[in-house]
Amino acid sequence: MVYLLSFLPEKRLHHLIVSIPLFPNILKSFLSASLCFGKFVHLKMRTLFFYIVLSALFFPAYGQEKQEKEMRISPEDVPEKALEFIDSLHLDNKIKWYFEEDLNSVSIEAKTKHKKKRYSIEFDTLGNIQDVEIQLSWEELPETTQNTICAYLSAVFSDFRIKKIQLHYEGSVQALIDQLKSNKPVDGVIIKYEIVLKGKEEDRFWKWYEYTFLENGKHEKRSLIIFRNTDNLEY
Amino acid sequence: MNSKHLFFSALFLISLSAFAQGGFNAGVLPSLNINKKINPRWKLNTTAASRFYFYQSDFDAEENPHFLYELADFSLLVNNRLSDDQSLSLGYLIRYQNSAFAHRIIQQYTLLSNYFAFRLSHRFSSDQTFQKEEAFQLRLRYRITSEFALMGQSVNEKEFYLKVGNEYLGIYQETLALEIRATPFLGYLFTDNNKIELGVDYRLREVISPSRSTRLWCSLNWYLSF
Repeated sequence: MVYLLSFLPEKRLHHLIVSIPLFPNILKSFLSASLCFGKFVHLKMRTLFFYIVLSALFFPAYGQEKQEKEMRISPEDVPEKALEFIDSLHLDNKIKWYFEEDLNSVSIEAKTKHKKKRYSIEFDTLGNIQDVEIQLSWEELPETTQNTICAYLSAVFSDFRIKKIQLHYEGSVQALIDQLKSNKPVDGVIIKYEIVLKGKEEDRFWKWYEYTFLENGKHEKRSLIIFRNTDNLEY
Repeated sequence: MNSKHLFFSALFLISLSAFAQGGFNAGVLPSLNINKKINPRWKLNTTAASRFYFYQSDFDAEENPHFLYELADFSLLVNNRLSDDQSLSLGYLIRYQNSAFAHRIIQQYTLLSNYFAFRLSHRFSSDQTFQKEEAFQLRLRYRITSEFALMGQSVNEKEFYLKVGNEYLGIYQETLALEIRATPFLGYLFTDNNKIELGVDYRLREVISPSRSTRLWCSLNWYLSF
């Protein structure tokens, strides 16, 4: 049954699962993610069965606040398109591959270090490139962008500390390859900045956030970071 | 390996280098750690722990007890989260040992950091212990603990993880003493609020004294949160 369902296009499959009556939404998302992943591993029945069993073990996690989870996968489980994209970049170091999922989506992510910078390259389950993220320091941002971001954050928070900055590229396959190889602005590549920070608003309680800013420093979105339980590190 | 890894490894190795000195005792140390969240800023922590010896080098083979109960601890701490990565705790511990009760007051500050593939915590604490017919005891403690995922970058439910800790205790009880602890644990995360850890709690007591001794506990910790 699962094998046959996996032949359906992803959108059709998603609609089918969503339309199941008396089925919790969480379980629908979970099932959808499982089956989409099954497609990506070329419908190998054994692998698919393994994944479904593994997903069943993970299921209790959806009762928690944590939104994302990832697991390491081997290059053999990575779609050809994604491998080709990575090969074309001629990166310095070994690539680590991860399968990531949250309640709304699943993706494949390649992580590596290149020229002393951390790279994170995200693909959909068919191997289509989604975005590229490169870790930066604050000083590497253009000065005008720094000023705009700083002015915005100063208005939102009474105090804040920036913890991590990532340069975010989106665009076509060729545009992204050109951008990453030349490290110069390329037409068709959208540049954004993702900033993880801890900030204090009126309630004077430090919270962690992930912000996305456009290339010019204009704010696009923010999300609250929910920390995992830390009891075993405190006591 | 970055400088933080090196620093932490060096601390851990320094304490391990002191192995096999003086008297040696071994036993088991199970503990149950229950946390109850009152609101986003406040929570309660209760811990019940006991210790049993199964080997003491001061005894001959015939005299060595197979299983000797040493003590039982029960503690209650009130935790105030200053931010997502810092917290303050105040609490009280009662200990039953040698047919007598000891009372301990605890103060604790914890700083947590998330790195690319591991979490790190620095715990600074002090405690004062009062017991009839025993001198007052003051301890200042620093513990560094790191948690590494064994699959992927972060620990997910139904996954194993490695937790390695190293603690330094300055103890004043009529005289000054230093104790070093090393605690490598293998943990398993059932859910974010239910985890269990099994490992070794190695303690080198009175490091700067000729009467130094070592204790090795086989430790089993169960953490539950509600």
